[in-house]
Amino acid sequence: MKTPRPIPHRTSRGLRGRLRCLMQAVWDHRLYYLMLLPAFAAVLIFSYFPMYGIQIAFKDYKGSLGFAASKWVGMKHFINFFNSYNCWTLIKNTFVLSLYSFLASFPIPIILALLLNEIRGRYKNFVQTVLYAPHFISLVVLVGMISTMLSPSIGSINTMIEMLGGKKIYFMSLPSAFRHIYVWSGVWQEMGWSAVIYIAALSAVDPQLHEAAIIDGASKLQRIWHINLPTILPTVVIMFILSAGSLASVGQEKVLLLQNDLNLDVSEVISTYVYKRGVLHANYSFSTAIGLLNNLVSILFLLGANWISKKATETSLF
Amino acid sequence: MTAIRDTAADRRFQIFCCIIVTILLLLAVYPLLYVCSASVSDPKLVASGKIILLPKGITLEGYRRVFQDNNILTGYLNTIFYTCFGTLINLLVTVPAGYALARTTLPGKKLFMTFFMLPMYFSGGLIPTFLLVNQLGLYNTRAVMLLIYAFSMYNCIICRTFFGSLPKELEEASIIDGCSPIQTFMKIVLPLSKALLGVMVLYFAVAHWNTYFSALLYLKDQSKFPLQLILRKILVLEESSADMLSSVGEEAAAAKFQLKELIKYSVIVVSSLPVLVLYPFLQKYFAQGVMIGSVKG
Amino acid sequence: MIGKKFALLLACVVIAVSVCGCNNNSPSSENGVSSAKSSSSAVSQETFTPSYPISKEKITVKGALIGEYNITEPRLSWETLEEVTNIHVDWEVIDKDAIAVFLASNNWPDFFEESLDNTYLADYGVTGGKFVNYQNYLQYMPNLQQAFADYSDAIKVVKETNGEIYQLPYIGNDCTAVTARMYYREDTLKNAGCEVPATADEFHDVLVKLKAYNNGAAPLAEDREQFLWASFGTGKNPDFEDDGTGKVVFNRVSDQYKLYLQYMNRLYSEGLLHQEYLTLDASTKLSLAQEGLTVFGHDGLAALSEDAFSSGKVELNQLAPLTSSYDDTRVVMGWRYCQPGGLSINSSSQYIPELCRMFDIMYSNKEVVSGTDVYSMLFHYGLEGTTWKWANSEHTQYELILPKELEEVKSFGTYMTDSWYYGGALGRFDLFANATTSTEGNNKARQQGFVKNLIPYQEKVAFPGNYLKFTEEEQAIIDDAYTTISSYVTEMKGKFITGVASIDTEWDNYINQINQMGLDEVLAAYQAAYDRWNA
Repeated sequence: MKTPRPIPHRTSRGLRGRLRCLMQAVWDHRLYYLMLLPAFAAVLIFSYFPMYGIQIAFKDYKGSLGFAASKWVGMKHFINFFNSYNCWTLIKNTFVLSLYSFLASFPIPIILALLLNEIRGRYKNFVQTVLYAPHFISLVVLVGMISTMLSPSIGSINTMIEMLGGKKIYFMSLPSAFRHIYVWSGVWQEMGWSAVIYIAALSAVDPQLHEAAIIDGASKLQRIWHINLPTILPTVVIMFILSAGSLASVGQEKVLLLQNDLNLDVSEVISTYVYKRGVLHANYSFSTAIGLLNNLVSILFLLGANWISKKATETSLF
Repeated sequence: MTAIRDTAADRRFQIFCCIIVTILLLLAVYPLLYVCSASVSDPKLVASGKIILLPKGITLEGYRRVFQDNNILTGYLNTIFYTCFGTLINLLVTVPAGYALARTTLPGKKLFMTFFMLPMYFSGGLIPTFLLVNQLGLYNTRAVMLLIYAFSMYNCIICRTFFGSLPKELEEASIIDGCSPIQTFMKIVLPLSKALLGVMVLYFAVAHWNTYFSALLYLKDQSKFPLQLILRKILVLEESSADMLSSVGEEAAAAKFQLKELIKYSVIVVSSLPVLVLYPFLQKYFAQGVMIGSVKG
Repeated sequence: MIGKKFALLLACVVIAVSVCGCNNNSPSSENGVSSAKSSSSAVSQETFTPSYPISKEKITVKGALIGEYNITEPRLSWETLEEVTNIHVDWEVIDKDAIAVFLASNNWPDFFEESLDNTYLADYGVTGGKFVNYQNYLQYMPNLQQAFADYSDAIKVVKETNGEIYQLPYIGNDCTAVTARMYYREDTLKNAGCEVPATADEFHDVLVKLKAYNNGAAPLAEDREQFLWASFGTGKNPDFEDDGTGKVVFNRVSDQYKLYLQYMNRLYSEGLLHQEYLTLDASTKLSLAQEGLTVFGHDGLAALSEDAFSSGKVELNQLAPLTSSYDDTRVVMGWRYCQPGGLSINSSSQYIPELCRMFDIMYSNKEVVSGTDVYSMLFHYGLEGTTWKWANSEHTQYELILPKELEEVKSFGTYMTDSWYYGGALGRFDLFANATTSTEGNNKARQQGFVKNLIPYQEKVAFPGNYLKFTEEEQAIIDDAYTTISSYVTEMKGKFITGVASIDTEWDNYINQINQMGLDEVLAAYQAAYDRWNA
């Protein structure tokens, strides 16, 4: 392929001129468009063709009538949700839980990756393999393990507390403990898996920079701060933005497993409420409507995080 | 260059790192050991919390029940098929797209980004997708498992980030030498992106390995079921028959209940072990210094 | 060189995709069943006499099971049925999570074996007309008509708000037709030197003694409100109930409920109710029962077998309802014999009359063809002489027959669901209404307990709360307000009993909250549905 022609500067003013420039640029990049083609086709077919299903958020969907013939009800489901008795509690619970989860689980994999990077040899390989394994334990088993461990009668944690002279605590019943259990069990399970991407990013660190820094007398900590971190900064920022985009959604599976009668006022989140109302009674319109709401909020967070990153660093998603 | 020796402060720091990492390791390893122990222990002891680390009352009943199902072997084979070819398709679709989107000069880049990102947040739902799969004639075919998540925008963004951080001089050099974008991509960029490819393979392979819900919706023949779906069905089968019997008070419900608990753990071990073995093979791609000598000066 | 590798890779992928893409049946070609109706659907008004086989040539219909079943093993009940009817059923299994999608996909079988959720019946039945209305085919089902005549509720539980019937009822009338179960371990009670309690106060004292006997372990591991609640007033159902005049009341705001909560709170604070009763999981409860630590209750105790008792005999009994200073009658919540059973037929099936005639067999109380032994019992206890038989001439005792090779391997119930039929409750089952099992074991112990201590005290007519049919507007109100109310009730029940919330100071607030959540609207909806039920 020939070298791409430099884009002409203002050879002719006006719309036709700019159109010519554009078409020239498009033609020059034609092979890049070819690389985008399979992705474009896959997304078009499998994501955009079914997208008409979103309309049921504004309808009373009946399976027998189908999408087109179901009755249009406008904002009924949204109004219904905001009129429900405890909708603001739900919203508060959702955001507190996901913010806490985010603040706890975002930095730890990064620190873990940086620390792992300093270790050499076989031990490092072994550690990496073991650390990401808890990711594969199913939620049901994880919650089962936690319940057993925290149980006053049969749990090991309470046995230890008693040995140290304290009184047994029924952790699972305490509303104040719910959020901590939810977040830290998540960190425990996912930190190794989330660290993988940062470990991979750290492989791009140039050893020559380190050698130069050592000659200049920098300590390990200084080297990590000034060399390793900036190298993986683009990755960190992108992961930050993408995680911000899922702040509004807390999945219902784990919450339902940890929920019990005594912690309902903090453990009932939007997704569990929607599950009980929408899915259990096959009320898809309602669950689609609230899902839509959730996603709109997620997009706002995404754009917000993107804007912050653009200002603070130079990397951003858009 | 001669190797630089660590200073004493550096060695102390390294030991400090080791200690922290070891603590985290013990924390992470504990659930694994627990699951392994629980999968071979007497279910009564597991239920009463007497299993802390080592197995007690060794029984292989859980594994026996899992492997009793003839479909386990086909499940493994199907999953290996879906994982290998699915990951391949994923790589072919997602990675080049990431490279193209990393081109700062690409006209319409923002448009494409928006086009790809919208479906991450807006989805038509299960029923329209199912109807589409039906219409395309993909229902109950193996192809649907490979195609339905062929593109992942999340991973594509990671690729884009990575490609964007490569030094521009490399590509400029190859263009001056007369390479087309595709040649540049394959001959120069890809060999430098081993770490990225390692992560992509891991993410995609694990996603395929763990998938069961698509199979639940779109596959009918048991001969096409992936491993996770078969294991889940075993679990649900045991659960539902135990629940059914216990509600009328069958004494066999007791045995079934505890077997069901045991099976939960055996299922995790059976389904996760192969994937855990994958990681050591990918680790060498995460080694440091893959880019040494590529850019001079 | 890379180019060649790449091309090879691409070729592999293309081949792989096309190989699997070319695979077999696309369901869009056939819609499962055609809409042509067979000639035998001619609706004749004369009395219809059943004759067998139902079809001269063998016909195959498609049946759907919802849940998880292993369909590769043949089920003897259905095979025996096939010999009589000449109708073969091809089964397919639908996963519970996939029902909504399956129903929307228009690729329906001839019938659904299990009962579909009310929402689907309302959606595809009332609105969509895709289910057969059994009212139009009753002349083919004389046994069902007989069942409707024998049990006035049977037609009520399956009649939709538009008067049509889309599924068949299950009529279960035997000695286990009881709700308010409260088992206890006779051996532990005896060893602790306790008498069987007859009042709520005696119950409390017995629990204290048992706790001391068991070194501080709580003898009660669950909140058994079905049984205990009735002792604190005249109501029997803690949720919705008919107050005796035909008016629906919500008992979660009643004084009786308050008294019950105070009692349970007392049990909890004295350590007589297990401190973790809200989070105990089923296998833990089972262990506690097997070790004899839990003495009263249901979960765990229900499944005890001989090896949990030192004497080798299942020493399980049922506690008779307690009286108290608030209520000296011994009436507890009753059981409804009739429930929605299943067997919804696709309205575009080719074999509607044949299917109706086949399902009618499940409501017959004597064999439909002499010598075959095929009638309603086939789907409950199998074939007389093969899997069960009468143990005495008065037909008040029956014996279960398990194949020799399965004696230590499975229990009878497991054997039935593994080899004879699938899940779901089908047809009419009242042959054992006055019989108990003579086979020793858990079932016999519990049945004897029910017959002596529970059945005589059950209310005759239980409130049909779970079986009322609501219109769309009523259902919307219930989905909206009642979801919130029931969450709140559950939350406060836990808090009141464990003492986190004080009943004395917060009871009025609790009632106010529930009223503010829209209780009046919910009661109005229930009243309307109940009035329709009684009409």
